[in-house]
Amino acid sequence: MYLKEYINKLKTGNFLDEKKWLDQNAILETISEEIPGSGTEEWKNFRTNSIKETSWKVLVESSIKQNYLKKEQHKLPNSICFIDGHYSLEASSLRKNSDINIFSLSDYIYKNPEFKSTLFNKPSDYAENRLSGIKDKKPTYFISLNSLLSSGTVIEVEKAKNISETINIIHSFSNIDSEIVINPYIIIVCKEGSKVSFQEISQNVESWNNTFKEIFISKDSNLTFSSLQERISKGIKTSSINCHIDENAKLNLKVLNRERSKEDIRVFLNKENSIANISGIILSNNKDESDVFCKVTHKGQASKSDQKWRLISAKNSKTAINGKICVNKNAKGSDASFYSKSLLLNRKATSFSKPELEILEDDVKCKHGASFGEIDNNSVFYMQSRGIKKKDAIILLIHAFINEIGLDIEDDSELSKNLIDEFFNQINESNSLYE
Amino acid sequence: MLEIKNLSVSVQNKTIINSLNLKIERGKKVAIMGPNGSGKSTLSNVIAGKQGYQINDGQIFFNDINIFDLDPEERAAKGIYLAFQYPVEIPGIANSSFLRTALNSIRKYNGEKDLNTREFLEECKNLSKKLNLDTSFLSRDLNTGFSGGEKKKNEIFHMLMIKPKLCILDEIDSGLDIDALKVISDGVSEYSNENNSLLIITHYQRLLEYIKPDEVHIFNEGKIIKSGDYSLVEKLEEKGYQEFV
Repeated sequence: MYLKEYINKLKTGNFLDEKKWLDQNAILETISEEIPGSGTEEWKNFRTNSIKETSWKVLVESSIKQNYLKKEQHKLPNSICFIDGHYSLEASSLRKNSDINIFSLSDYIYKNPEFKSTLFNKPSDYAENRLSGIKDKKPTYFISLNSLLSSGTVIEVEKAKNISETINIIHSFSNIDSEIVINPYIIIVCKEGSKVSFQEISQNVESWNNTFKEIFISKDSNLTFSSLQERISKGIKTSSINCHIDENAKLNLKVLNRERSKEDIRVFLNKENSIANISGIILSNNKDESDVFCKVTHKGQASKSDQKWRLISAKNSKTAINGKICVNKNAKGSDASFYSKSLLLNRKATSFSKPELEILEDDVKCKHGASFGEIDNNSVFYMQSRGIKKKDAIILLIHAFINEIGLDIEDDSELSKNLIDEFFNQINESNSLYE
Repeated sequence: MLEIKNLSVSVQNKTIINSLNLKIERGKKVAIMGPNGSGKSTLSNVIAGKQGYQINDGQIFFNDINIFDLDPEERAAKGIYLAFQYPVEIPGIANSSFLRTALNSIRKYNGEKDLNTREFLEECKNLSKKLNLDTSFLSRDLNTGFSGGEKKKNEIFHMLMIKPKLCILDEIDSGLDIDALKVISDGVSEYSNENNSLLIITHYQRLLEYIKPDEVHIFNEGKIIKSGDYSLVEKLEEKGYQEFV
């Protein structure tokens, strides 16, 4: 079914009974407006033409290629797999007794009726306040769309559990029609006093992958989430992550964003002593864009956030980071920082960084900074004078540039290291470093 | 080992080195002294192969090979080492892994196998002890957050690990306290033998008191204006550069 047809059907009053918690009128109103693009501040660095110009189709349950599931099962252990946006028990390999429970969203709400009030239900809650006084709902277009189109899967981490082995969340795609929009909707609930790590990997997609994750970190919990994106050759990805952090709880968010991918991150430090450490690598090559919007809202007293970003643009590509820090009234003693560094590998490569502060409380500490540069010739010569080839020296310097923010790439995650190596091979093969 | 013949170098049409001739024999320690802006550091950079200099005339031979045909890394692999006056800081690369990469690159160029990691680390630890460096500096990012003295000691540490045939010390003594100077000098003495040569570039006598060069040249306006033995250093200390320029 075509997306437009589906939306029109809903507009005529055929609301979705299973999603009664959603303000479906408000959502339909938002997605009936134009897709955000150059006119929307948070989206001006990402071309959405291909989304606007395609007649997208919606994937319905019956068209999911069940046979594909076994054939293409990912090799990563301890994994939760999503095929074409839908949770697949067959393809997953989650350890037994892993202290993790998986539910459909409707089942979870049935068991925990009060939970629906915490979920995304209307665009205005996440709208951006403009200087003109307008509440701009456009940046919520993609989460609105996702919430209507996806049934949702809840991953629940039980109370007071310390889970040492990283849980892999894998997004695979069958050879579906390239004009289909896929909408994985994942809700992670980390209950009180638990510690857990997730690593999400989105494989190459040839269609439009519009993912949405809502992460709830309860009191005294510690959750690490790594969002890793493979290179997208033909398709496009729009991704949103909303994180809600409770008292004394901590989020470690690590992001690897690639070209043709736009990541919208919203972190809410809701209670006292809540913490968010965010580090990310944004890579782009050829003529594509790799763009991240990251907004941290301090609501709780003595809440802390730290954002560190490294951007690398090769050839004619563009990397972008919009880093926004909002400190609400009464969030006394909040401490927030944002710092980005951009590396431009070629003359035509560009990078955009916009740190933004919105502070409504006096007793806070906030700092921000952004820098841009090229490969330092003195460093290259220093390495050459020690016997390292120029080409290797440049690659080593790019690695160093990334390692600086401590994504634990070398030690922690073979997968993220491989993804970064793949980017280096790509820019190296095309000799784009020497133009 | 090194022979510079009639070398003239300019930067943005300004002559920095002017028809320079210099020979450094195997096993010899040669010092070049001169006032600021006399072209000493340009000479060390040109030998090591830094880009950005216009070679107007002349040749440099290292073990009878014209090094102008070689890239900086090839010169390094053949045995030329430059200890920098201002070593660059590179955050994100551990000192030891950088050094291992450098050593393996040199070994690969010379057709040798990669280093044995255990032996490499053992040697690193022994040498760092000799240079009075805490072993934690091996895992610290390359020169990042190092004090001036630590950076210079690290240059000597790299030199001792790489074991070059010719070592150029570009103002290695600048900014060092007396204790650090002694450690650096001890490191240089450990390196120095009948097979290796040293080119020491400095303003001051104090490093040369420890190292005792075989030849001393006074450099001004890109050429040697006076040559002699160690006694020339003492004269220079007494009378200053004005007496010679």
